[in-house]
This record gives sequence, structure tokens and C-alpha cells, in this order.
Amino acid sequence: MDEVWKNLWEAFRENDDFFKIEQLVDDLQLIFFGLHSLMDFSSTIQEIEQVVTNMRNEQELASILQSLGQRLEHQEEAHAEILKGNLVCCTSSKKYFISIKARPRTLDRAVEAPANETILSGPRNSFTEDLSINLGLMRKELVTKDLIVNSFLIGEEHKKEVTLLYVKKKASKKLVESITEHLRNKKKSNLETMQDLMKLLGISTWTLIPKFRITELPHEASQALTKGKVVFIIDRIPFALVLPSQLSDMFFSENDRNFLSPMTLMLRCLRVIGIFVAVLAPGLYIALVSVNPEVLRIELALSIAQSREGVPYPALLEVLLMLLVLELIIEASVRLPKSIGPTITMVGGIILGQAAVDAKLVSNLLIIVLAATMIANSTVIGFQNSISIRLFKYIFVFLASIYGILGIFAGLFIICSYLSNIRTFDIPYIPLKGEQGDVI
Amino acid sequence: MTKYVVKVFVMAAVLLLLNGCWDNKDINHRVMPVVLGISKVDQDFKVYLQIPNPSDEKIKTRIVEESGQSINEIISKISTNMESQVDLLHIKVIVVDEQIAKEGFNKIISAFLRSRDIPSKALFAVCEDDLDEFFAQMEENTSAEGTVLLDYFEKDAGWTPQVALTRVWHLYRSMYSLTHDVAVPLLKLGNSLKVEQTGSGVIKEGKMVSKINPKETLLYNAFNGESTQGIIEVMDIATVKILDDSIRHRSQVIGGRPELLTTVYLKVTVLEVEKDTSEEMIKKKLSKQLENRFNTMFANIQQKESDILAIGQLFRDQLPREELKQWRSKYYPRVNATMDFKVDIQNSGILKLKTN
Repeated sequence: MDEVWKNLWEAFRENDDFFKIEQLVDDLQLIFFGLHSLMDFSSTIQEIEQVVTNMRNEQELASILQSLGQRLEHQEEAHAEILKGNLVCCTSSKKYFISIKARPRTLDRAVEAPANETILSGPRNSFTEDLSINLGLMRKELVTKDLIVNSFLIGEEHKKEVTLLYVKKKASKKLVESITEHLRNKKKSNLETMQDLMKLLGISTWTLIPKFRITELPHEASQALTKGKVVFIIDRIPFALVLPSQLSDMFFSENDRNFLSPMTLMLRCLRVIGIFVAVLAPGLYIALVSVNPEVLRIELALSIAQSREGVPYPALLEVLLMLLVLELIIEASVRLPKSIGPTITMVGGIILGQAAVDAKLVSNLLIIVLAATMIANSTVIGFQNSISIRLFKYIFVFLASIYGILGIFAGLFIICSYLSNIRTFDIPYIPLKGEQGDVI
Repeated sequence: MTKYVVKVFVMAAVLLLLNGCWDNKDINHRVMPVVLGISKVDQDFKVYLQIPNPSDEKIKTRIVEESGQSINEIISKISTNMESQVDLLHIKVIVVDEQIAKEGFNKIISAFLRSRDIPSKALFAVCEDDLDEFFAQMEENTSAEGTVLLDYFEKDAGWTPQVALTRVWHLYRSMYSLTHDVAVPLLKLGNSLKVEQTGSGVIKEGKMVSKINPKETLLYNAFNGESTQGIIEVMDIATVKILDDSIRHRSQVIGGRPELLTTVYLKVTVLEVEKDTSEEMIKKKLSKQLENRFNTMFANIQQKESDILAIGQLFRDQLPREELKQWRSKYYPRVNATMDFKVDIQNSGILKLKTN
């Protein structure tokens, strides 16, 4: 009899938060195992005692306990149950364990407003770390029996729960099947980050465009589901990953539709303009200043020439230098605690920019161009997309410094052909009419 | 995978090594002349460049002169001697002196188009004064951008419909076209104003053969589809302002003689009026005045065989190509052109006032 629980004890005995409590319930000896850090033992045991009192028969007791949880035949199952935060109990005479759903400690934050995706109008809930809360949010958002939730346990040493959500009849069968197959085949690999999930699904991580759309908002995720996309929710990750992402995700947010139609149109146009400014402005500056000044009106050409008077670097270096500083500012303000963040912005933006102009290191116009670029960059929906846009502008900077305006058009061509070449699970990134891929 | 990496590497290397971007010069290392002047001294050309020179606070105008045998030679001489590269792509106005205009500027225009350094959309003008004096006057002028001369021809600045707008490519076209000539604006140093527009020079195959006055240039512009809006016509009974115009042609060849009936629809508003003047009188008087002006001008240019109104274009579909080659000499002098001005007075309130 001892052996049954001795092994369990051996597996966990090095942990100080592991407990083994023996209790006599009317002459019956029960042994409870669990982790203090994951459960509230005293209230759990009280609940059990309420049920168990006045049970004479050992047989009866076992069945009552089983009704509270489930019977476990293997040692490994018992390990997993303990790690999940459940109470495992065994009686002195039986050869099996019973796991009982314990009252968990609250280790998760409550459902809060989104931190990264601010919304003006529309539902304000955002995902948290807890998988079941996230699933609940999705269920509340999408009240239909067609919403299918498939769970997978992925991982070798530590298991991670991944949930695949899709709407029956909307999502293409082929897409769901091939995703399910990938997840089943690679149950052993670890899943901690986005890149891990991409590898699991057989998507190359060397791509400039995010294949997943990341959203904190259950509303956005549920709207994506109704459009035939699939959503991954991973335990401990406070985002939903929408697959596949498409070009329109950069400009169109579901929350736009909470405004009147003309406003929706205006907002979306603004974002499209914003992306073009963010991508093209620095390149255009170089093209106009160093390669094709004849395009400018003479008045503008003269005032630009005036503002560049005495600047020692060629336009390309000038732009790269300031862009580097700006990228550093962005990276720094992500890194810094919220209380210091604004300081860095001020120091970077105003003092550095103005000082650079005064020191004749860069021209005034460049500061204006770069400020416009950075502001426009933020109009893109989704931080992941905004990083992609940040990267794309360097293509234009280099091409413009070589070929001028022609280079900018060449760059547009390159980007367009790259975007139209992207496919995720055979669904094109830019869906055109007539070629919707597999998704209906 | 390695093949792919090698491919990308080779492409990047080629891009960096073969692009020639080290020849690009930043905008502050280029001088951008706005006006190019060409005059002839004995057998040599003399070239003037008016360069707006951005200095710390202001933009100052600077004139650079050089003489030599050909325009391109002179430009390269200037470029060698200047501290920055001369970038002729910003030239907006080209001014030649009267002597060159009379002798013909075919060679100059061809050289401009061939060298591709000078934009073909640069405006062309003939200066009746000595260019030395003309540019000396320009240098004194300290306008904000140093683009005074340019502003005379800018549609969103100082242009009026009495000034011909002729670009280098117009001239080049007229050199080779069988049926289309152009007029170039004439400039002169003014008394109170910097520059005075004295009308237009009539060009025939690259040579200036005659002159027309500003009022006649207005008709030239109307024929060429430029707007004539805002022009004031003064008659003894009234003063009117042209608001809008449209033009319609009917052309046919009758017995080897080209007949042209042109109807001009004018929308005018009455500005000043004498006593007891009716709408009809103004219409009649205005039509008559414009008709007379047209007839005088047309007789003049017909005699010089210069088709600046591009009347020949209207007969292109009615004459065989062999005949078109003789358009200027055989047909054009015999064109019977009838003008019909249809005047519409749009704001006749002033006529209804009894007190007038």
C-alpha cells in the first residue's frame, strides 16, 4: 500500500510547497497531496468534509470522492493533476488515486481594458493570461453553437494548452484539418512564443509580414472568426492569434464600424495615407534632395537648399543617422518603466531634434519629415504591423538614394510583389476577387 | 537555401557596385539657375545665368556670364569655374536677344533638346533690350526667391492672358511642323516696373519675322485654348471684362482655297458704361472691335507666312500630305478667315440702372 503514494512523495518531496496530509475520517485514513502555491487547501478540505461526514463504508466514501473529481490509474496522471493545482487523494486500501477539483488561489489578474489596442468605442474587455477566462470571453462574444473549441496539450517537459477556435461552416475544412494535423504531429515540441507556434504550424519565421494577427480584443477575434478565420488562444498568453492575417488588417479595425459610415471611411483612408507617408516620406526626402531636385518647385528647392546649407553629410547618411536615433527612442520607451517613459520622449524628440538642427548636423526639413513618418507609423493597426512598416521604409531609403524617384517606384513594386506572394496555409495575404484561397 | 543566399548576395553586390549613386550631388551642392540668357556678340555667344543663391538669411540673386562658341561649351566652362555643380534642370525661362531671334535659334533649340540638361518645358522669351542691361537690372532686384522673371509667366502668379506662353518644346515642334507656328513673348526693361511686356514675336521656322501687340496676343492665346479670363476691353461706350471664352472652328477647302469660319463665344461682364447704352450696342461694338483687331493681326501674319494661330491644323484632314508641305507658301496666304464673335453679357445690372 505504501508504494502507491511513496513514489508520488518521492517525485515532489524536494518542493517545500508540496504537502502530504493524512486525515482520519471516521476510522478511514485518507492521504491528500497537493501544492500550497496553487490551491487553497483549508477551504478545499472543508468542502470535502461536508460531503464526506457520516460515511461509514469505505466503498461508499471512495465513490463519493470520485464523484467530486476523477479516478486516476497512473502515477503520471497524478503528477499532472498536482501540477494543475488539483488535490490528489488516496486511501490506505485502494491502489488508485482520486483527483479532486480544488479551490484555486487567485493567481490571475481580472479582465481589464486593453493596454496596447486603445479603442474609442466598442467593447473594452481584453484577454488575460488565463485560458479559461479567455475562452469564456470568446463564448460571450460569439453566442453560437457553431463556435468549436479544440484543445491541444503541446510540449515535452512542460505541457502548454493551446486552443483552436473556429466557426463551423465558416472556416474552411481544409484549413482546420491541416492545422489540427500539424498540432497533433508535433505534440512533443515546446510552445512558449509566437515563433514556436509558427514552427509548429510549419510556417517560416523569416518573413517580414506577421502571419498571425495579434489582438487583445475578444471582439476583434470573434469578428475574425465569423469571417472564416481561425483563432488560437494559448494558456498564459494574453492575446488571441488570428490566422491568417491579411492586408486589410493593417487598415481596417472592426471597431471602426461603431462610427458612422463616412467617419469609418475617413478613418480608414487616414490609415492608408498614414502607411504611405510612413513608408515613403524618408525615401522621398532623399530622392528629392540628392537625386531628383528638378522635381521640386524652384521656391521649394531653394528653401530646402537653404535649410541644408552647411550640413556635412550626404542625405542618405543624414537620414540613417536620425532614423537610428528615432528607432532607439522608440525601443527605449518600450523598455523603460511607465514613469520614466515620457522623459525619454521629451529628451529625444525635442532636445535632440532641435540640437541636431542647431548643430547643423541635419536639416530642419528632415526633422519635419521624420516626425511625420513616426506619427504616421503609429496609425497602423497592430504593433506587429507597425514594426513591419518601420522595416519597409529602409528599403525605400536605400533605393531612393540610388535611383531617386525611380527607386521609390521600384521599391513599391518590390513591396507589392512581396506582399502578393505571401500565402499562409494557401490563403493569399492580399485576397483579390475571384481568388479567395480556401476561405469562403 | 545556400543558392538563394548567394543569389541575394550577388544581387545586393551588383546593386551597390553598379548603381553609380556616388555621382548624386545633394541639393545644397548644386547651383540652380532659374533664367538663362543668350545673346550674340559678334560671332560668339554670351550666356547669362541668373542664380538664386541661398545664403544664411536671404536668397540673393547672382548673375554669371561667360562667352564662347557654343552654348554647351559655355555651360561647361561655367560649371568648371563655379564652386558647385551647375544644374540646368531648374531653368524656367530662357531669354534671347533680338538679334538671335531674327537670325534664327534653330541650332540653340536643337542643342537644348539633345543635351537634355535644359527642361523642355522652360519658357522662351525674346528681350528687346541689351541683355547686359537686362540682367544687371535683375541682379539689383532682391525679391524673396529671386524668381521675378519667372513670376511673370506663372499662371498662379503674375501671368495674364496677354502674354504668350511658349515653351522650348513648342518651338522645337514649330521647327518641324508643317502647319503650326508659335509666338514668343517680348520683354523690355520697364520704367516703373522691372519688366514690360511689349507683345509677342511671330516666329516662322525658328526665326522672328514680325511682332504683334499684347491685345493681339490675347487672340493668339484664345486660339490656342488658353483662358482669356479677366481681360478688360475698353470701348468708347463701355468697359467690359471677359469672364470666359470658347472657340469653335468650321473649315473647308473650296476650289483650292481654304475657308475658315470661327465662332468665338465670349462671356463678359460690364464694368463701366456711358449713358444710354443698350446691351445690343455693347455686343455689336465689342464684336466689331475684336473683329477689326483680328483682321489686322491676321493680315500681318498671313503676309509673313507664319501660322501662329495653327489654322493649318484645321485643314490637315482636308489636304493631302504633299499639299500640306506647301501649306505656308501656297495655301496659308489665301486663307479666307471669318471671325464671328458671339458676346453674352452675364451681368447686365448696370445697364438697367436708370440713373446712368
